[in-house]
Amino acid sequence: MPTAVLTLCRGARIHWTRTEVDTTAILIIEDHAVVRRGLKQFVSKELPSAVVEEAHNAAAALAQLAKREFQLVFLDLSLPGKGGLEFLSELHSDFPKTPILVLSIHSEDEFAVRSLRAGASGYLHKGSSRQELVRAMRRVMGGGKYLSETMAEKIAVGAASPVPEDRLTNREYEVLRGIAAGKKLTEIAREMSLNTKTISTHKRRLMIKLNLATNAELARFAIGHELEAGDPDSRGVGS
Amino acid sequence: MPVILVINRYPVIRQGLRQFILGDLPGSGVVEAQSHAEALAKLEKRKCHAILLDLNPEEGLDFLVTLRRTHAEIPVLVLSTHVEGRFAASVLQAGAAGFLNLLASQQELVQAIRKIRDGGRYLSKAIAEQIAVGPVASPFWHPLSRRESEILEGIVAGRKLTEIARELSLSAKTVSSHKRRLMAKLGVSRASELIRYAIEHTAGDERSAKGRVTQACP
Repeated sequence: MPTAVLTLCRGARIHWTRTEVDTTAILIIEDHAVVRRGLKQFVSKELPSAVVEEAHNAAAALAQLAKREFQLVFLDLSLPGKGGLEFLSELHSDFPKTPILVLSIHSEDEFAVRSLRAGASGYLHKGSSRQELVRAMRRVMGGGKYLSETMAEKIAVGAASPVPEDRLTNREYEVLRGIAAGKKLTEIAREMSLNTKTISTHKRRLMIKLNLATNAELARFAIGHELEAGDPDSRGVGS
Repeated sequence: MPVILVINRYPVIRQGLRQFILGDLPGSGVVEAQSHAEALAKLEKRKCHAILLDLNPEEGLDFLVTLRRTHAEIPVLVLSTHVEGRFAASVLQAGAAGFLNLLASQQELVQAIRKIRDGGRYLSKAIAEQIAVGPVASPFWHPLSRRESEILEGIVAGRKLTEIARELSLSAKTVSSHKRRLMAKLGVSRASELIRYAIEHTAGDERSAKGRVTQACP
């Protein structure tokens, strides 16, 4: 039992390996209750003895992470309040041994690459089947990285022909996505927990990097970007 | 046993809804469908007493309208990540019994299902308020036909009408009249306004989930 071990190793930094831990603990960080519930069900089915905790935002997540060590964290990239990629980086640097599986409504390569670079062990589309989810879980809990085949392929193709957005920092990229989605700068600022001036600066910088001189050009680029990136899922339930 | 049909493209959301229903509405059965086609097929085989339908503005209301026509006796609760009063109003006008944010708590989701299953209507307070203070005259949001959407995309991407016509294998005249019609539907008089419209209504779940939710439902 953990308590006994603690007494013996008092003063020493305890390194838990999977075999030493009695129960597997998994944390789901996601703001939609219904997605948390579904994920919890899939996870429990796969690992019936696991303890599954939930957090609906960054603060709740940090509170959970302070209480115990987790063997896996599911992180929703579109968690409100903190730019997803930024929170991911923070989590990874604060808890380097905990694999993070990013969940996203985007099935495109751009976020996948950035997520992995920011420290995620894997990237999953929320539309994934239960089997794929389980495969991803097993993989990253075993220390590996996870990408779906289609994603890996897309990345391979992307690596061969880089897109201009690659030049953007994570923050600039998230601001671009916000603008493409038609959000006002104040909205974007609120969502990323930054002030509007900072967002303005990011906007200015990304426009320079992407060679866009006017708002109209930015709009065109953003729309073109959104339309190109449109995946079958975003066009709704297939008919 | 009341059977609820859950139509949603995400397995994890279908599972979550299933768990909420089985947990809080004991005695209910749950049937799942990943697509509209699958949903119609399931409805042929099994009598359902309520439908949960995943719907976002870019999809159009066609399927909802179809459901209301072919299965008028089954109340439909629309779940969406796009929580704007005007969209909700359109959805209700198209025949849905209720409209709810996918971000809603288990409690609210179950409450909504119970309400519509028993023949009532459901709207969260937040959305109801938006509708109440918003323009009532006619739905702001006019769904474009697929053709019109394609042409709008082309225009917004800066392509000439003749190019668009060639791409879609239509005559330039046809594309012109589609353009005129879609501009009338959207209430815009200049092409530049089309671009703004496109920005505001770009397909984007993330935008919907993050940007449009005005208030968490209780």
